[in-house]
Amino acid sequence: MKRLALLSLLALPALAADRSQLPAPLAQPAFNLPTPSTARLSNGMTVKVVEDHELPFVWVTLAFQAGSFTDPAGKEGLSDAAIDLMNDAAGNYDGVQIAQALKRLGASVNTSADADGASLSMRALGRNVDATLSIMEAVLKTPHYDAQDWKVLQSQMLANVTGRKSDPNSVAYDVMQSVLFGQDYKARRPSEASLQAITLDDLKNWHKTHLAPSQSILLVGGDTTQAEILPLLEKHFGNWANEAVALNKPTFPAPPSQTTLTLVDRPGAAQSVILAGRYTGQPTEADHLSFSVANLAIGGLFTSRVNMNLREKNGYTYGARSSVSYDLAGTFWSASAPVASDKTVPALKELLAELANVTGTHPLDAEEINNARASVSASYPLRFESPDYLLSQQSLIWRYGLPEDWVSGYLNRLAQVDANTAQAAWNKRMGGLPFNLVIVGDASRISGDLVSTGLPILRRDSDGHLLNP
Amino acid sequence: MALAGAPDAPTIPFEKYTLPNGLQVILSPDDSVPYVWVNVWYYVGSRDEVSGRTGFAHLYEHMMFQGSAHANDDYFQPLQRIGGQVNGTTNLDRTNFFEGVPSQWLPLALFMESDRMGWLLPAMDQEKLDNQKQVVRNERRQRYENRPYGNAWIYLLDAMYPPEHPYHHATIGLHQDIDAATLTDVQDFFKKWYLPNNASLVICGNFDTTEAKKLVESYFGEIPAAPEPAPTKVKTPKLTEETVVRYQENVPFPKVWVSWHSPASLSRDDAGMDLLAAILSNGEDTPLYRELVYNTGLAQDVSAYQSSAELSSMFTIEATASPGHTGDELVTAIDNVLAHYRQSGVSTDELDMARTAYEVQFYDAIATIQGKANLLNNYNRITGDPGFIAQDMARYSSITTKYLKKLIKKYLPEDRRVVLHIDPASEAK
Repeated sequence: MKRLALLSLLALPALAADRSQLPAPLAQPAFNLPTPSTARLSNGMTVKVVEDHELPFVWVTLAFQAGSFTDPAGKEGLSDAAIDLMNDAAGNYDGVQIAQALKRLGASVNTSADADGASLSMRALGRNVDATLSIMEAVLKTPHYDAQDWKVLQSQMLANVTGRKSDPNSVAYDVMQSVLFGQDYKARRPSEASLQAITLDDLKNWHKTHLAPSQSILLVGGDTTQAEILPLLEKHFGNWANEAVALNKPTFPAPPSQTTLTLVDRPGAAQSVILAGRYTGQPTEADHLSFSVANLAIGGLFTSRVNMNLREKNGYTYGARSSVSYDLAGTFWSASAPVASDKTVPALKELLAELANVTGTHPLDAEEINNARASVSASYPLRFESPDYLLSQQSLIWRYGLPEDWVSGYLNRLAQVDANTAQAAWNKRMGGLPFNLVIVGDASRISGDLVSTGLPILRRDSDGHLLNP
Repeated sequence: MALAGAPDAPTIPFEKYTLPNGLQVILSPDDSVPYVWVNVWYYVGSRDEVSGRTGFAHLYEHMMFQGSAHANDDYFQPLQRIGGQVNGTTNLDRTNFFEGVPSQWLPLALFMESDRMGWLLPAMDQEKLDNQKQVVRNERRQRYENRPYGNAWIYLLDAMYPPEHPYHHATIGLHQDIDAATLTDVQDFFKKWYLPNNASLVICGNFDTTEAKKLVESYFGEIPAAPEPAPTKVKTPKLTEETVVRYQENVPFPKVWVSWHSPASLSRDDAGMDLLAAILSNGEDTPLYRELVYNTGLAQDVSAYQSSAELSSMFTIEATASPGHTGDELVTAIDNVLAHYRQSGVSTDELDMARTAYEVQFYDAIATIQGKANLLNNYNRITGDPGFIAQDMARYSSITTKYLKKLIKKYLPEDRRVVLHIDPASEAK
């Protein structure tokens, strides 16, 4: 304590900084956007490679077009299960052997599946890439679909169906899908009945008919080169031959005719989860980026209108945000806010007012759009810290048929966005148009007041089924 | 013998020095992208809170984003519009703040961090405090109360540590304490803890070290030191019996947590407990998974983990029951697995596989500049050496099967621990 006091007396006084204004920037370092190289295997599969030698790992992802949108009615959960089981036991390995072989290699082989597609991926140290690809090859070509493995996974998936109904965020999401799609696409999620209906033969058959080179792409990143990795990929996947069924992709859902509020009762809930959503256009349309930037200013950033109002001004929530995403059905705008139960109606009214004001009393102004645009463009280089982002974008370009310059032309397209294009995109896609609202909360504490919003109110249960009024 | 998967030890280049006011500065260049992270640790966490003010360290963290004398606006405003990524976190032991900015904006990041380190109070007012109390109480509702099993960690700490222990309460605190916080509390906390000589600053990323030193000196040098606060330190009392606590809540399945006190962060035994956790439950080949999930169907999932902290850590095994099974059945099954390992120890093969997985994870920890920045601050705080990574990895190499067997006996006794059950409320309202 004493020593410190003495030190500060003796030290030369620091040259005090000018605190009268925010400091100016230094010179900006150059940055070259990395680009993937492209090659093909002899079976026609495209290979994209992004070199990055910072860490001693190589990542290989085999992405598939088939996702849960392919699940037949009554067997929802089929694709998810079929993908998940692939790396449980395959080739000469049972489940324990596959896990231990990977541990000895310091490597991993993972599967993942969602509504729009699926993938099989691995990571390994450079010297173990060949050995790890051998395991990945077995997982792709000769999964066992062992009865006990399916029994274990089935019970976990059944429990997950039950578990989701206890989580208000999952309920809000699931009910929104039911509102948007009825019984199709993302509303087609696993149920107790559909999981019980899936047989081992269904799983094997899905694997045989839904994964094929013509509907797959290979993505490679990390400490390797195209010259080094191609022969290994050719060895393990070049002779993979399979014919898959044609995939019927989902279409854009009919927009709602009026903004409607769906209430899901959760007795005793500590908060109400508010979720709003609307499908609006396609990511391939010219105004998609302007729309995204408009959304950043309205609800996408911490400093956006919605968060500054609901959180920083009113304290109704820990965080309120809106986002723009896209999937096989199109561009999806959504907003979410978990709010204190007794503030549900005031919070909802503020949210609705902020949205309405964009096309009324509070149009987007140049400064907030410039800031929103800069928040994305200036942080863009950070996304290229690891190969993940660039590779995942290659996968999205392929999956959704996006333009080839989706990444390389991004900053140029972004530079064209201004308050006028942002406002126009918002007006066209959202301005005054109806959307869907879901609230999951304690109806006894909020339902009476909701009537004061003037919105039609429907009740659904946590499965998404309409309840009688 | 090292397995094929064992990587070489990673290194992180750095330079450390201390300003005359006591602020520790660690510079670590990495030019992979034109971006730089500023990461400040204040050595104060929820363990330093006083009676009736649980949750205050975290509430105070929120107040650090409400503007300071020369930047009296929301902290995000000037940083988000230049492409900054901003956040902060509070835990039992420390509070950290970080912003990533495009390299050219390093002066702005340092200006902002230094202004709230030196000049927070002139911009503080009651309205800001009242607002953030509501925000934090909503954070509590969102992250703990309105999520199935979200309260588990609050219950566990409560049962593991006696009321006088600084880890007895969770960082989020109690509603009534958050609500009771006053402006005077904010002022006192700032004056006591938010001092240059109770903090360390890491700059990691693409920047020029000469330029950075000048900027740090200019922005932070004039902030006065004050008497260094005494860190809250107590000896953690040993558990003397098994304590079983049961709650009924709106959850879908019975779930159990079995917890023991375990060695503090970055000690050798702490690494041993990490390895033990991996041997027990990391992967479909491991004994807890086989015995609770795969072979018996008692549980949907099971995991063991060491939660490292400065004063004392916790080793926990948690498992969620399958429909039709109870938490008590899971505890019995867990005990059977532990009894086997207490008796027979682990095999060389099991240890080698777990160790290799840990060695690989070291690279995950340094994969991002932000990850490296925080790791440097963590090493510096606990060991005094930001370059501890090689020794950290060596901790794992030093563990033998014989040593692990001793750790199981010493730290995981069946009769001295806490067992927490959260069961579905019998009558859904």
